[in-house]
Amino acid sequence: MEILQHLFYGFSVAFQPINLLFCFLGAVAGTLVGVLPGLGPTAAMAMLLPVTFGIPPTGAVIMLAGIYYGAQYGGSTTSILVNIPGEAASVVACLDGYQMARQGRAGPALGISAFGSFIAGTIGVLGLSLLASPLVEAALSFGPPEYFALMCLGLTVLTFLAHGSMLKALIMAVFGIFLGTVGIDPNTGVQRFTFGKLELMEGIGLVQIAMGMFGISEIFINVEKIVKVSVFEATIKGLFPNLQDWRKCIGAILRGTGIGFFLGILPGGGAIIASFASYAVEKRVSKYPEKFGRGVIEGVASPEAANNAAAQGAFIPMMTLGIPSNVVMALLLGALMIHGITPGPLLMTSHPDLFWGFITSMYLGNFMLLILNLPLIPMWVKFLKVPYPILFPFILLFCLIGVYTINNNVFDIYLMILFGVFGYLVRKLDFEAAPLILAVVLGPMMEKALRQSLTMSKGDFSIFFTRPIAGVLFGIAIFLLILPMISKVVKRDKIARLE
Amino acid sequence: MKKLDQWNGVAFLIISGIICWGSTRLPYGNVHNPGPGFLPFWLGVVMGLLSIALLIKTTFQTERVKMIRELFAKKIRWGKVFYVLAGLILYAFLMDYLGFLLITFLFIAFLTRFIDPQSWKKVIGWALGGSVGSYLIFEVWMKLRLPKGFFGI
Repeated sequence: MEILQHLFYGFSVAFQPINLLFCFLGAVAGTLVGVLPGLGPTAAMAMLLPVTFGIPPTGAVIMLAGIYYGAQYGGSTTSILVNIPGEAASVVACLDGYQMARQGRAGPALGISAFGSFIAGTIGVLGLSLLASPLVEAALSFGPPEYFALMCLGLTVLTFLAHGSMLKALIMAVFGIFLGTVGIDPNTGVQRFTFGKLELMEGIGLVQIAMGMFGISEIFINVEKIVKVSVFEATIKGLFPNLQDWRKCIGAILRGTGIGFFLGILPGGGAIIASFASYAVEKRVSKYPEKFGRGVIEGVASPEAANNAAAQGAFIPMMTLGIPSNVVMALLLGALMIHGITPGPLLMTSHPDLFWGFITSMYLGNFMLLILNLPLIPMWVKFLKVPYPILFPFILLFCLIGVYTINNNVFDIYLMILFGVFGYLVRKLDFEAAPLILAVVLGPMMEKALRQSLTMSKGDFSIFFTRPIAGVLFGIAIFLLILPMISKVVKRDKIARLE
Repeated sequence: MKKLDQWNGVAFLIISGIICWGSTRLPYGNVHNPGPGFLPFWLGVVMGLLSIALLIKTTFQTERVKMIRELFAKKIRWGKVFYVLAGLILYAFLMDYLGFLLITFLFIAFLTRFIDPQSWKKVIGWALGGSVGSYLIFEVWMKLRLPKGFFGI
């Protein structure tokens, strides 16, 4: 029962008062940003990254993770009450949740979303601790070619799942890798694209890019139109779903958890896709699919469970392989690297306190959120009533302070503003920012792996295909790249035949 | 050339050209032992190819695509976006001279008053509370070193 030992050790770390405090702070901050529209977990984590520089790495990761899953909780509250998803993964909760609220069942909707999230989060953490050890063992046999292939696959999946054109998502990803090359080349000491600027020698900081592209550009987007939020003035009573609700939901929650967890593990997957997928599945297995969208409680329970389970699943490739599967994980990875820790298969043995403490802290965090979220919902609703014209200057102020305090240098502010404008423009032009951010983090690792692989093989590119694991990973990546083209041809064929 | 993605393709083709040009000035190394210019150069090439693919694909696309004029069709408050941008730049530019407390007060007051105008009473209240509050949190409590400016605050 090695696993129990590990978990026990983890709890002893997570229960240290200071770590409990960080966990609590993260969960509260996360719920808050989840509630506030126009401020997603990515922007919030970017804003709080500088704050974590001063605290020990274990506390930093615990707090940042708390923000992530806290935001999943908070986001659903606003989806249900005002039909405005606080963050992207809660979009689906709007469909049936808001309808339930309008029928006077806001209480059970909020209740089931919190309980569903809690159940999913708990199962997710258990799955995470069970899967971690075997995956770490497998990962230890990975060499540079395998890592390179895996990172390519991660980026490909993310672009494959992008909303708009895959070509445009790929352009963003390649541009992101390029941005990652700015600075002094670690192998040769040559300066690349620094324009002689001292501030660019160490590369463009992830925080500056992420805050610009997610924080600042989001404000630009919101300011350009007139935002009006009308809070649904319902008295929320009876947060506990009744027995009938539970009977309907328990299957939905478990299905959502399963779907979410496995989609979360996949590179490029994550909470957003998981919530949509589980809603679709629930609709398909339901005896009354026509009622979905008109206030069915399963339609809230399943996607809410899925997005929480996915949030947990996403930590697996990050903690065991050192490969972030989505933008939030990329930021977490960035935070660890700033602390001088490289996540990967060795993390579990070299920093067991961080690894297991972090995993168990998520369990505690989920419990805190359950007791935090339900009674405090009226307070969160009050935050919603802060008008946006007053809210946004403060979001900007936090970004400014956060980015300034990294190096106490005004240059970083200009850099953030520049990326804010860039992010605004590319969003207007229908590009996605997520592949770029992930690529910025992966870029330097990819280059290192690529160079090492080529040195290993004496310049022979076939090394990426002849080694079995790398070959399979590359095969999947290439398949995903060609898939859109094939499906288009097939579709055209079908239309032609019909005509 | 009325489609949005045609222009996107051209824009990124130009950027990839610049990247390639910049990379050729760095040591390329060789394929056995790639130098610092190796990856950026090929990234530029790949990005260029992707941009050309986007340009061609959009040009021959028969399905409905977004047109360039649709960008300007919606009523967008460009002026407000510009104000926010100007506020940010001025903040960065002036913070070392005016000091954190004063510039933050002005920043919040400016944004609350000129984007979606609030009453002066609210403006002063939020600006005062926000600047002093954040000063207490970040400078006094968390001991971050914020710029002092002329007046030493």
